[in-house]
Amino acid sequence: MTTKPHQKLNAFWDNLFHQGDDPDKKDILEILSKVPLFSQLNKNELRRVAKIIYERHYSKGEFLFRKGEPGAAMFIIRSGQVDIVMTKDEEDEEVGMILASLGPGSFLGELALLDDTPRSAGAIAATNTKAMAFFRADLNKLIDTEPKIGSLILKELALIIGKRLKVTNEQLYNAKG
Amino acid sequence: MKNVGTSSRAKRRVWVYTVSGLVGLLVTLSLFWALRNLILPSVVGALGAYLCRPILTRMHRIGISGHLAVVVLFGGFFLIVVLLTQQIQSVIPSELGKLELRIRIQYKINDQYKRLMGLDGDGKGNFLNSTFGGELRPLVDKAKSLAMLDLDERKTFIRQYMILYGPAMVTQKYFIYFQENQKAHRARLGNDYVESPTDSIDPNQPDPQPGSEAAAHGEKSLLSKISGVVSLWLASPFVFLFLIVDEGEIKRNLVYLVPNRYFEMALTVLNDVDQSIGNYLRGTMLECSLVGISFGLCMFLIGVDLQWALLIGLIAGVTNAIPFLGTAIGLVVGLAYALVVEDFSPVLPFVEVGSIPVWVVASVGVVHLLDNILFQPIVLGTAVSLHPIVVIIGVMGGSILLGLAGMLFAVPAIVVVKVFVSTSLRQLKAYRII
Repeated sequence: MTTKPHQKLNAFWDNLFHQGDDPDKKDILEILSKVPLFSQLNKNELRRVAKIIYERHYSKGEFLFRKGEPGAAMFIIRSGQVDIVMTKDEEDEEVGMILASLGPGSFLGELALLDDTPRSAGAIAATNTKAMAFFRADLNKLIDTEPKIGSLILKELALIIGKRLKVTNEQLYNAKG
Repeated sequence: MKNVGTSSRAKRRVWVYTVSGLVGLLVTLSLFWALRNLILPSVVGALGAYLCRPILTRMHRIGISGHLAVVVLFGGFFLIVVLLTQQIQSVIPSELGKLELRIRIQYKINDQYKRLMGLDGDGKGNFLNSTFGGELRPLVDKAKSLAMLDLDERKTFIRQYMILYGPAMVTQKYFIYFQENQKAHRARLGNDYVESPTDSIDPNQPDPQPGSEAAAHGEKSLLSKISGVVSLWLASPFVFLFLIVDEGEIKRNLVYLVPNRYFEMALTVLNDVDQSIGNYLRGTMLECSLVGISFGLCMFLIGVDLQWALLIGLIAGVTNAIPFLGTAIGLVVGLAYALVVEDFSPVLPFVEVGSIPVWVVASVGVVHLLDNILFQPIVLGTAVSLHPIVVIIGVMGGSILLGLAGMLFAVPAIVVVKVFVSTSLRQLKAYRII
């Protein structure tokens, strides 16, 4: 699933020129409010978050991030579909296995909000996709300037990771049993 | 058929975007060139906004609303600009004052040189004179000739004094200095001396009065110069305002230029560069402020007038950003003041008026020591360090390209490039791009 050069160029121009004239822009707050990480934020706080997110356009077959690269941002899918994939090896872009497919409103790469440890899997646009990136450094600044918003986001992030740990423990227990 | 249509449309799209991108780039570059005089004021405004951002963050944190914080900061920036302008304007002498200043400088250089070399009437001098006199004399003559008035200026000075003091002008201090300078000049030139300016003055010849064509021309050119400088520097507070109210929109628009492959890497590089450069610039500003305040305070304590002590401190503080040369500039400015000014009232009882230059040198030494053992380690800490050779070449290159502004901004510019390149390389490897 490789991207042709003209597709990459189109995605580049979309990023550059299609930010202001997007008719769906009003849906950003709605999508953000449905992301568990931001579920405790009120409308004003969501607007504050919306100001620091980056909108990106990806062509079909384009990677959002690759396995093994340092993580710097969490992505929220606005439209389109993204596959979580394992590549055959870290240097290779050829997809080996699709682990999951995520649609609009889903989020991925949230561990990058904590530190820059390498991504455990890659993410690739299965269709032309619009995504929103929430950058770790911006979250850190938010914690610094508006501690209430920052702590609410961190609390939800801790809950999500805790839930996943429980699920993983159960899976491990079942696998051993 | 549909595929052919889509592909030709995609090609046209690429063409339109590429051509418009190139045209946009060319227009931007030519605008930059046309408006290059605005670059320095804009850089100063941008630097001010960048340095003030942490203050804005702290104000947010203690609950001050965004708009109020911006108004307070902009008011503070504007107030500083106005106060500095007033301070500088208050020490700029009038036209006659400038002539008097140059006469005084010429006289004082001569006087101090004679005293230092022990030159009495027969011109024999002391050990210093016999050892270094041959080398120093041409330098002193050169310095004096720089301060010396030309024929027109001498005529203007005498006319102005005639109008102001009449026959009593000969008893005025600066007129006596003027005559002493002429005597020394005549003695130095010997037979080559051709004209005594006082002889060539016709007291009845009218001096250009305010309102006459020449005066009007002079006034107009001065006014146009001042208005030109003021209108150029007006850009500074506006750039400051626009950047301080920006909540990351400029950065976001820049990041849109980055292809998806480099998106995360670009954000990481921008963040790392921002942190390193921010720490360096804020540290340097704080260090320069501490040096300026310390030097200004020392100057005040040894008897320099408060207004001038503040100005000398300001110059020493600003030029401290120029590595190696900053201290020398502070020393030269302090010594020049000590050399020219006659009325000292030292705050410290043990400072004698005759030894002011020695105290200036001691003050520079103390401030330099404080800077090295206290200010730099505490304020700059482990911020970006540069090799001394890079610093020297950078400062020299900056002075060749842009003069004093180039010297001031050379090291920060090198730091920006160094941090940007090293961070980019590190991230390019981490993201397996290279």
